[in-house]
Amino acid sequence: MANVIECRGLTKRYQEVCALYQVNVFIPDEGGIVGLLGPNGSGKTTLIKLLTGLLTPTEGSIRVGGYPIGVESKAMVSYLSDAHALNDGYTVAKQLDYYEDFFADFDRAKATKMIAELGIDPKRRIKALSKGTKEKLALILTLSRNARVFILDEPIAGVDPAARDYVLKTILAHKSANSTMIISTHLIAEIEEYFDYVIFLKEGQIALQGKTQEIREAEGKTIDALFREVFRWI
Amino acid sequence: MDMMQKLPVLPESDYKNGKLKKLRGRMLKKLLKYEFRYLLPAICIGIGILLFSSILLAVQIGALANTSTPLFVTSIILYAYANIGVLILVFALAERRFYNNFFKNEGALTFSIPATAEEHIFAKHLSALVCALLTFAAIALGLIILGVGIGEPFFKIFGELFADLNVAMGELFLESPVNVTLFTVEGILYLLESFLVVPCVIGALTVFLRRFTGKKKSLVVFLMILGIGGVSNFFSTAFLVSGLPKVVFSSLVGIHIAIWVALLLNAALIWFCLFYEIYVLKKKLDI
Repeated sequence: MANVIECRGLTKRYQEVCALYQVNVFIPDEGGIVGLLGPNGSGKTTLIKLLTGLLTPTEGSIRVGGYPIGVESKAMVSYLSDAHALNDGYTVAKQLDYYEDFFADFDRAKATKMIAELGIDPKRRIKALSKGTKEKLALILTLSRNARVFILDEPIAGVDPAARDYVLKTILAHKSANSTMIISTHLIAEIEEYFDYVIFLKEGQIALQGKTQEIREAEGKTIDALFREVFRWI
Repeated sequence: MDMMQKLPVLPESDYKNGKLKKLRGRMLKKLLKYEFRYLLPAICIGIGILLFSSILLAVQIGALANTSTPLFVTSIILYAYANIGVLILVFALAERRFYNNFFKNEGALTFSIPATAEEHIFAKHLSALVCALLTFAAIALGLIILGVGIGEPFFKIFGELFADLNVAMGELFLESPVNVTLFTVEGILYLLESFLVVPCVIGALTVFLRRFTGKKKSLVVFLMILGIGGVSNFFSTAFLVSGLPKVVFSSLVGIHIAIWVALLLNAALIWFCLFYEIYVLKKKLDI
């Protein structure tokens, strides 16, 4: 089985700070959900930004679906940023046009249906929506692509419990069998049961990576309990 | 690598001999569409106001017996400011779009679309150039409207201005008809370059300052800008006081050489700015 994501010797430095150091990540192309776990400042967002081409590595190489970071890798990755990244000046309908124009795999009918279910008026400007609605809209647009890889950066952080349920339900309902989904989070208990593969990041290095079931069996504890043990003093 | 990974993930038209084309027309067209959708509505309003004020001013001038009243002078000054203002609006809007799209939160979406850095940069600058030229055409049209309103005195002023210019340039247009063609080409090229150089320089400075904002190197940036300005001023002053202008502008060839040197310097500046912007977006992107 080939790897859908391969990072070799990945290092990212910001001036004197080393956010990632000699990271090797190999995510098999098995179409599962990958948990990218670690406390704040462990390098999760830096790794995600490197995978999506928003940052360039100081050292090392990255391949997504066999391609180095570039237009081909971007065409197969659907990314949900941890910050609100939609075009504020657009209406919801215009944002749908934008996605449809630039992402060949965007399913407009699917997005329109989900937006209607949420009761969002397509004529409303994005800047007029509440923070929670903007986050849900961004999630809908991200999941409405038939992408090979989905990367969701902290999708359940900072949302109320009801919204969290919606986010998790939507993610699971729209995850296709042959796509790989990477979810970064530090709220493990909420989502642990859905992870097929986990990567633990600690101070910019891989502390642990492997199949969830194998780790649970080998360690004799849940991923959440293991996380609390690994990051006890951070 | 398995078979599935070897398949191109972009349309066949994006590839040439199995390799991805550097600039892909399909994506560039889409990017341009969104740039114009953003810029054109505001610019059309600006142009509309400009043309409407030209008509109003022309009517006012036609109705006034005395054109030295404070009202007339104020109208002319406001009209001049409106012309400059609309042109500044074009570049300000283009700059705002450039910054928001690339360096604010929107950047995460902008750079996740499957477009190259070259496509992003060209779409931004090409749209700014087209909008600047449209505004320039509107300003020229406004002046023609004004000229029609004022009548003969207006065209007399322009006639005198061009006559002075002709004398200053050795009455080149009258001496040699061939030069008129060459000058027209040079003039169009210079105009295009002048409108392209502004968004390119603003874009390069934005990228430069954004990269170093809040860091020690921002001082280096500031000193570099001062340095470039100082060096350019030094050479232009040295050129003026050396007496070389008399030598250069005393012959037809000298004038053409001077114009082509200016054209090449402008082209080099545009190329440098584009290269720098693309380099940063490709190699040093940090959103």
